[in-house]
Amino acid sequence: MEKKISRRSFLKISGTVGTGAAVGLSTSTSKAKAAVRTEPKKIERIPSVCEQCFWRCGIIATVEDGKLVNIEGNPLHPNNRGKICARGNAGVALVYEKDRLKGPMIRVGERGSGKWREVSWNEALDYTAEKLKAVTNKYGVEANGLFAHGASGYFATDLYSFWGSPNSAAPSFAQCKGSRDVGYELTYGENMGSPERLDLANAKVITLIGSALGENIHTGQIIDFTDGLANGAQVIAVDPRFSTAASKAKWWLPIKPGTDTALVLAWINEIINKKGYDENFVRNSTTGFSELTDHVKEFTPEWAEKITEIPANVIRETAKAMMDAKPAVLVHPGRHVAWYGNDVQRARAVAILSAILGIWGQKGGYFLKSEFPASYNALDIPAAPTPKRQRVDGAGYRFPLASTEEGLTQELVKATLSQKPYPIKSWMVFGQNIFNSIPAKRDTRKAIDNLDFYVVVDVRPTEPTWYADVILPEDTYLERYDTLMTVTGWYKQYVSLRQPVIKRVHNTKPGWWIAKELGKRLGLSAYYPYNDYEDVIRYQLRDSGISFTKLKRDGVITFPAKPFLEPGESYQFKTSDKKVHLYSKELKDLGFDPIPVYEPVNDPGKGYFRLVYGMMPVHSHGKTESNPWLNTLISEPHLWINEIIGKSMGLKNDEEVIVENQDGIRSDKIKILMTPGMRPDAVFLPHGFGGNDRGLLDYTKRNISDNNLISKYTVDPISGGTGLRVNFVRLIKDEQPLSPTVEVSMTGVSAKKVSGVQQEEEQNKTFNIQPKKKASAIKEGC
Amino acid sequence: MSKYAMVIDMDRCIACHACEVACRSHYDVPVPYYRNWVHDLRPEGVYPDIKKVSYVGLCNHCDDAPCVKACPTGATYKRKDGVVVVDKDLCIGCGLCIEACPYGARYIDPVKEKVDKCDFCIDRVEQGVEPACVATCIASARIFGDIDDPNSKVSQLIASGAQPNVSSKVNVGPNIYYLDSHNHFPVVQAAFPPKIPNMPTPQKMWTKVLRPLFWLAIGGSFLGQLAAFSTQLFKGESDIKE
Repeated sequence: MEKKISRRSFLKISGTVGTGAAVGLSTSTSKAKAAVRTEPKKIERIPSVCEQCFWRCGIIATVEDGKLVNIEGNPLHPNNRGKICARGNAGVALVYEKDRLKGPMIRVGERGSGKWREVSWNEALDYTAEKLKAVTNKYGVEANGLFAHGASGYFATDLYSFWGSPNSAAPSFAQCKGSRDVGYELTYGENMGSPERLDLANAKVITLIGSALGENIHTGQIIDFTDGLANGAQVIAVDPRFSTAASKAKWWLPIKPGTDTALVLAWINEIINKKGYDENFVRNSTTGFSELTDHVKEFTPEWAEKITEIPANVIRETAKAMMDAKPAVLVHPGRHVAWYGNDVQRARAVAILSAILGIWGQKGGYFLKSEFPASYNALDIPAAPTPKRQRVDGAGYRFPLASTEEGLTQELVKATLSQKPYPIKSWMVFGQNIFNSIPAKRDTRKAIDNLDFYVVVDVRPTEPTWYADVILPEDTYLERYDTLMTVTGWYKQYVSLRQPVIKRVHNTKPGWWIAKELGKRLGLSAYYPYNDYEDVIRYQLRDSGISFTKLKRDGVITFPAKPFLEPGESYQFKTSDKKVHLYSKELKDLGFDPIPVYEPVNDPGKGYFRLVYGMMPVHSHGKTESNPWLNTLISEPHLWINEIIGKSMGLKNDEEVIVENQDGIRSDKIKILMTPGMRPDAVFLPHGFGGNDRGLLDYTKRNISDNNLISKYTVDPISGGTGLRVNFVRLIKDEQPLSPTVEVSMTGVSAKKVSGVQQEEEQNKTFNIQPKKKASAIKEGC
Repeated sequence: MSKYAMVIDMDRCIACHACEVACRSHYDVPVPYYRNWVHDLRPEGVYPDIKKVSYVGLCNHCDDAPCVKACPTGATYKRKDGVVVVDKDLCIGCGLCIEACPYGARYIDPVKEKVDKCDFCIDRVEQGVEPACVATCIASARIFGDIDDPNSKVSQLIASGAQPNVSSKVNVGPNIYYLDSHNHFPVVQAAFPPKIPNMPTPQKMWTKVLRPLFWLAIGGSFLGQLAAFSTQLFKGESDIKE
């Protein structure tokens, strides 16, 4: 019996003993032990799937007497193999987070006043349906817009398609990986999926273009990346910032932001010139190689040096490393690629570089997609109606290759703002912080004023929740079922199950239930022939050969995959002619460049810096900053700025400044982090913090969100993806804009070499010295 | 006999902080305290030789542990397997061990009013399960094992050059070792050198241990009197006699 006492309960008992210790230690201790013997705790271990981010790791929850006490990685799950990141571990604190949305509410004050009354689910859903129907009666069903994200967001997307509104959008496309997927589909006929199909563990050279692996934590990818490092992989880190990945890299290429395509074109030029490409693959599996060769002829490393500020010899050296390592060389396709609004072409350039290195289906390269050995029963429901009007976001027509499944969030906002091509009069925001993910937050805020009705479904309140007419609180991922998660494009195939691990803590409901109940009230009962989503999963699996009981018990069922080609085996690409399109006739026909060209970027101008942003390893998007276990690790972002530049402006580390962008939009005070590991023409602000979450959140009271400063954006004409790295900012102290008094150039770059201890000590002594001369002196040092 | 130790592979660590949160979760460590930590340093150096380093730390389970010597009640002791533990029943929360620790590995739990720190998850280890921080480590940067076994991975890594965080001034036989091939460890040692143990003086023994105990006794006796008096007041003298 004693052995069953968990560490936790033991500690709790000792705590009780402690308070009574003044009376008599020995007796109370034995009393406590006796108490435990008579009341053993009921301990359950239940597998499920994490949703602190969208990598979807397998987890095992430990539940003691109905209370969630711990989460660990599921060793059976290929995504994470028993490991789990900080956020995954902190799921426990999410469930019991005091700022959660705890019951349905209807607004009573002015919109934005923060006054609601608590209502029953019936009242909230009846009211919501009534309002949505009123919009539909007046303006048509298409006047209802939806922003959905996350695994349960699918239920909302389905609801809107059953209903007949084409106007739903998710940030996962236009603000994330959309342009990458389009670029890869144009080249290979298929995209890189999620988890990305990368054999990082076996790669000999790993090229990361702005991919900050290590700060961007996707567990399985980091497991493979660090295994790759341990296996001796050389990393080429292309980043204006000295990222964690750069700290592991053989080469850090502090590229001038926005010029990545020029670098990739120069690499292609060098590899073709030196005949370092995979001749067999290029001959048998690609089309357009001669056009490509002609196209890149002028894009020499010397040409690229002028643009990228990466010396030609470093471009040659890194190109050689890739040629020598092929096919075990990975050029990471990236994930969040919404940078400059010409991102499809950059993704194409990366895809082409990877293609000529012949890494498709090779060990240390890109994995193949496998054939999933089971098929699921489909629910017997009517087909969704064809929408009567075309979508307002232009996906599929104004933006010919945009995904019509995920849509374009920023275009839905624009249409709501202009009420064109036709009125959008209601929004449902389902599991998405639209103020922190969609650029031009002011537009998003203003668009809300044009709505007759605005409902938010979420787990915890965020800034946009503040304006909601109705709040429908959702279960956390630990309290609900979601759709089956099936992955085929990896080293293993699997299906995994998210299931509730505890009884819900508050008066919340799962996403599937909210969608179903709203559906019924909107006259869509035929689409919801079930009461319990568990029954749907059982039915889906019934004839698949996959046991629901086993899936529930183990959390995941894996199947072997065929990730690599056999020697000599050729691959039938899913393009029109089954070949890789180095030259894209499809793009040509649409009026775009058939082979990527570099489009010049603007310079920030005097006193301004380009604003770049990225992830911190302990936070996901805007959804974890109020988690007390994560907030204690990183509670606010620091603005990274080049040390010499910062010092020339009289700044000190941790000093607070206000950041103002080109449109005069200001942040609240943000702390400074000065480092030689930042390009002089850019500043870096971690994403996922801040906003004006008035009243609802304990943790964020300051407007320090990167997205607040991203008031300007460009749009990729091919995919509709947004370009977010086009904003310039300056720093304000004591109401005065600061201006650097030195010029710093990074063209003195050479390969990062490991230095001796002695040298290190000397560097520590010297790096604080303030530059006295301009440019030339600094070239050496920085 | 086993002697437990841990190696931190700095080449693999990507400073994700998973270990820190796993530990918090396993032991209900109240925010903002921690039993293990990842301290991220600003990327520093002279371009292009820049280092971005994080200090991964926990109790060093020292062979010559100053905390053991500092503890006035014997609550902190070193087990035969090398693990330094705190017997919560004996701990009086005086905090002398906290001042003695060169690594800042101890804190007083404000709820339990006891000292707490890493115990290498000895309950798990005894059941054949890895410590929680090791189990969750995405980068496999934490390696736990028995250094009495020359074939263990920790023994091999120490033989291959993993080093403890000691200085010319402080070496109390720590059992956490750091593996590093990028010269990151000297940065950690410079930023977080082991502190010279601040051992109890007679003065401190009086202010932190004896005086509080004295007042506790006085207070206890007063409270006892008060309790007896009030019971008497409400229930009458006869009830007390029973």
